Parts: sequence; structure tokens; C-alpha cells
Amino acid sequence: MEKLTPPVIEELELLVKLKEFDALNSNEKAFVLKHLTEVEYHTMRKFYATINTISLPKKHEILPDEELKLQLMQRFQSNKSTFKISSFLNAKIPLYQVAAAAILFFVLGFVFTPKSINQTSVHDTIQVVKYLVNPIDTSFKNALQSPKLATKNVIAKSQKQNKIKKTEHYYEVQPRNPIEEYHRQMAIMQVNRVKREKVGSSLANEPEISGMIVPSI
Amino acid sequence: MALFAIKYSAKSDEELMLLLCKKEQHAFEELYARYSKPMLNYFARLMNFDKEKSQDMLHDLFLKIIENPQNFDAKRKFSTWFYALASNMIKNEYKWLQIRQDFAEYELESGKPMFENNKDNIDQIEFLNCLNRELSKLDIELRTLFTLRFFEEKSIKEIAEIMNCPEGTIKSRIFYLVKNLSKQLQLFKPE
Repeated sequence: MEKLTPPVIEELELLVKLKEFDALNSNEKAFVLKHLTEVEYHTMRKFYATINTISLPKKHEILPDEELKLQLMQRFQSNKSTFKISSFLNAKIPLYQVAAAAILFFVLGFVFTPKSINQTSVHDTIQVVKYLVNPIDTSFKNALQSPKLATKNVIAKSQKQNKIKKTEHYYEVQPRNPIEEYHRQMAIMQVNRVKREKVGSSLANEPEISGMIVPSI
Repeated sequence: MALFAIKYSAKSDEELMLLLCKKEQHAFEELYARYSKPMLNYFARLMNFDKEKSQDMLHDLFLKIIENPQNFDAKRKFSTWFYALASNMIKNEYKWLQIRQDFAEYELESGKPMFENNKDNIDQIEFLNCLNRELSKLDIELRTLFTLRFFEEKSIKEIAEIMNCPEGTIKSRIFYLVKNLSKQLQLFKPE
């Protein structure tokens, strides 16, 4: 069967609704008969005439339950209390805004790299500092502070074993490094200890020890 | 405060929906008053006049606008959107139930037609019973189309929006539907 186009359908429908078959003029009749039989035309016309006058019998019309409305109102009230959080969670965000935010975060990731943040890092390499345990027999060579180099050497001499026992500590000193100040304090403590143990003696004969007293930074 | 009271009955459906988005209870009540009965009967027609089922579906339909009123597209006409929502619910329901059988079963089990005759409109009732019988044999899409066009009296444009179809397709489907139904109903008996 030939498929009718919407304009043909519209025209056929209009004729069916408006005119009896016998009332069609020759052109209209030719047009109708091209697509429908006379019986089809009559049955369709009868259908439209009947369906337009018919209405559902009143007794078959259904009315909503009163209880239904009450249930819905209760639901409405309970939903109202959770409105803010649910509306927040259900909020629709346009796709372009999501894309813009993603691009912004991506760009900011490059601008604010960790390097760009002004921070100071201190690198210390510290070997175990072993302080002298035999103060009487100990002499110190080299001052703790050397103005230029960041390396300190303390040489301890054991009188008993008459051999050189070398304990060295090594560290890199960054400006304002607290390690330096700590070391100076420790050196002073060592000197004081030696002085205490050599009661009555002066440090005049101990130039190396007295040399350890360094000015504070 | 009556001076400042909102006259909800004067508001359009679309305005009421916007108020409903702001959780205005009276807006919901007004929409319910306007649409509960027509929508219930729309469900009933497509659910073979199953009252209980239709009431349930009406409940679910209004629940959708309570819970997600923001889903309404303010650019669309509310009634069209609402009918589309209802039509989708019916379509989903048909996926689970074999409703087409129910109508025939109703008549078989009860031994009586869906609409009972009375003296005044015997032809109409006869016609309605025959029509419903024929409609029950159809696909739900065609039943919805027929109901929207001839019972809900929606325009072709509205039906096209509700069913998400081009207008030309709707016109064509209605034409062939009427042609087939009128043939099945044997309304015209040549002398």
C-alpha cells in the first residue's frame, strides 16, 4: 500500500470530517478515490462523527481519593524540611561551567607549582658528633669556628694510649643554622668542664682549649 | 496581610511550577486541584479502568513534581510536560504488565462489558465497549496516541511534544489508526 504524505493525509482528513462522499466534487472525489475506497471513506466519516459526540459516561469518571491528597501533602511537608540539602545535591551545573572550572584548576596547577612558593630549606649533613670523654688528657686542635669553611675538626689526643684518637664531626653550615650555635655552646661546655677538672689551673698553658672559646654569632 | 496574598488560582501552570520549586505549598495544592482528576482519568483509560492502579500512578506522578520540581523545563508548556511524564509512566507500566490481556480477561471473568448500557445512550456505550476492545489489542504507543487525540483532545503539536515525535508522524499514525479502527468497528454498514 502506498504511504501517504502528511499534506495528503491532512487533506483527506479534512474532507472526511467535512463532507459526505456524495457531496465531494469531481476533483475531490478523484483525489479521495486515489487513496481510499468509498467504503473506507464512509467508515472513517462515521467514526469521526461518533467519536466527536461521545463522552465517557459520568459514572465511569474517577475522582481522586481524599487520602491521596493527604499523603501527598505529608510528603510535601517532609520534603520541605530536607529541601536545602536535596536542592544542593540535585543542583544542575551547566556543562560549560564544569569545563571552565576544570580548565581553571589545570592552569592554576601550573602557576602555583611548589617551586613558586617562597620557602627555605636547610640541608644538613651531620656526622655523629662525639664529644671528648677524657677531658684531662684531651687537647683540642683547631678552633671550632672557622670563618670560611663549614667543616669542623676536633682532634682528641689520648695521653694514656699515647696515640691520636680522631673524632671528627662534619657538617655543612647554612646561614643562621642553629647547629652552629649548638656546637659553639657544646664547645664552651667542654672548655668549662676542663677548667673545672683542672682546678686552680689557668688556661694559659692550654692555648688550644682557650682557642675554643669562640665569639657568639 | 490579605493585600499581599498571592492569588494562586490566577497563576498559570508554569508560574505555579516555579513557585513549587520554592516549596510553596499552595502552588502544589492548586496544581493538584487542576490536574488530579484529568490525570487520574487519563491513567484510568490507559490502564483499563483499574481504579486502584490509576490512583497509585497519580500518586507517583505528583510525587515526581514534589521531589524534583526543578526537572520541569520552564520553556515548555506544563500540561504537555506533565502528560509526557504520565505517558512515560504508563509505557513503563506496560513493560511490566501485560495489560492488553487484562481487558479481555475483565470481560471474560465478569461476563459483562466494561460500560453497561442504559436506555439513553445505548449506541454510544456499545461503541465505547467495542472501541475499548479494539484499543486493548493495540500497542501502548497507539493507545496513548488515540487517548491523547480523542479523549484528552490534545492538538497534534501537543501530542508530538508529549510523545517526542515529529508532527507529520503523529498525523500519519492517527490517520491510519482511525482507518483501521473504523474498519474493525464496522461502523458503516452499506445498505
